Amino acid sequence: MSRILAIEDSAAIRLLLVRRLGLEGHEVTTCPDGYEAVRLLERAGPDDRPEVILLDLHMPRGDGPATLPAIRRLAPAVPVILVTAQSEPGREPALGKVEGRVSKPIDFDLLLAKIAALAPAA
Amino acid sequence: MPESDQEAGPDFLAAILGSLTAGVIALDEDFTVTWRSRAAREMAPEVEPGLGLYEALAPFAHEQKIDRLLLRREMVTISFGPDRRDIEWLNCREPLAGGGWVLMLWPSRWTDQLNDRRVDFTMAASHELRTPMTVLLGFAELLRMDSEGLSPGQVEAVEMIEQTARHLRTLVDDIFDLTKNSFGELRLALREIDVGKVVGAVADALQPQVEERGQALEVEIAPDLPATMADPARIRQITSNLIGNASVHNQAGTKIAVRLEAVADGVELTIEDDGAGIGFDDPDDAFHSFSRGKAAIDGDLAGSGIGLSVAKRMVELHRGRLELETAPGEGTRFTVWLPRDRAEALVPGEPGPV
Repeated sequence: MSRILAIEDSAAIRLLLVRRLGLEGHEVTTCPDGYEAVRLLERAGPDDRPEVILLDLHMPRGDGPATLPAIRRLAPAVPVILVTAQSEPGREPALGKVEGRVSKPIDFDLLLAKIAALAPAA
Repeated sequence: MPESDQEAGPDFLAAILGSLTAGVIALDEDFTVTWRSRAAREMAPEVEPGLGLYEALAPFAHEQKIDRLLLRREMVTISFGPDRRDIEWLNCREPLAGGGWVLMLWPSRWTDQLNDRRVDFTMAASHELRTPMTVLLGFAELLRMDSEGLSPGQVEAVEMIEQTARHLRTLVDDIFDLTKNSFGELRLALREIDVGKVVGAVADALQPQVEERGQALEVEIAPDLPATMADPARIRQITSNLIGNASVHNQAGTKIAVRLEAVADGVELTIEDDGAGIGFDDPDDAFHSFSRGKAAIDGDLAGSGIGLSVAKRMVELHRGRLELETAPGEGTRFTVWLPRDRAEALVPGEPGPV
């Protein structure tokens, strides 16, 4: 099971991710925006570094496009799954390459399959 | 001065057409340009006599937009690039007596900006709605997965919440599509597909929901269907809307039959139920967004009327036809015809709203 960092501005969705992914045995840490995520990654030791990052696209402080380069710098080997409320890829703001994407409302079977495929084998 | 077109000579009429601020373009019945006024030449020099309109406008407008202009006779806006004014186009309501069509075109001004704002607003609204929907669906699902300790009544309540949240998601997607389509923004991702596979997968996915409502879903897909040029995501949406419609508008005990077969010039999908029928005085009213027929009065609150309207638009974008036969108490049959060859299916439909 994986250590997951979820960067998401909605408190209700953060709680949902903790509970739903927790039910499958994942250990989920959350932050409300990109700034917090960067601080958390800077402090993380090798043992509590996340194995998968879920990144929300739109957040009031430190949104997806602004946060992705910092994640790549601080945790270059960690796969990032974009969680977006945009229904069409074409309308999203420009963003670097990500390892996966799921749209909201979240299809958890799909998200869990992506996490399983991307997380390093235990 | 002549007082009617009967008295006016051809020179006089030509002078009037030539001096109109709006441009005028005449097409023959195959949509080839036969004549254009001076204003039309200035606004759209590419649309030269002798060229087909699809061919002449191909660099500026995708095929489905020209379909809307010519076949559905809706007003469309065509952009000729950053240095030129956008032009609005409208076909005549009825073909000319000898066959052929007359287009009017004029520079679009503030209407564009207004439309852009409406599209932006719908996109933003649908985007904002997705966060609460995620929470609603996610927690309902969580509660259902972990329902130990809940009474049967509570489990039923959770299921109702989940079902309604799913319906809400479909609604938001449909409204989004309808808005984009009405501004000519919707494009099909066409490729040669096996429609049977798509329809079969949708039916399989919906089977549990239909059975949960105490109804039967029978599926019959002919083998060896011809490959069809279609957008698989849209075929999925059409099929799912029609089966979903047949299920939610009918009581337990209803039988829904889905049949897909090859016909002479394409494939035909029929979705038929032996339920209550759709209570519209004119069956075509069923396709109007937000119209819900007598079911609404009888207390059936399941549908919004958007699903059928979206399905019809999607079928028309494929240059196909969606037809409805229904009678109160005698069930409902939807027939979707999709052309095998889109190029041959250039048949004008009913004029759309201007």
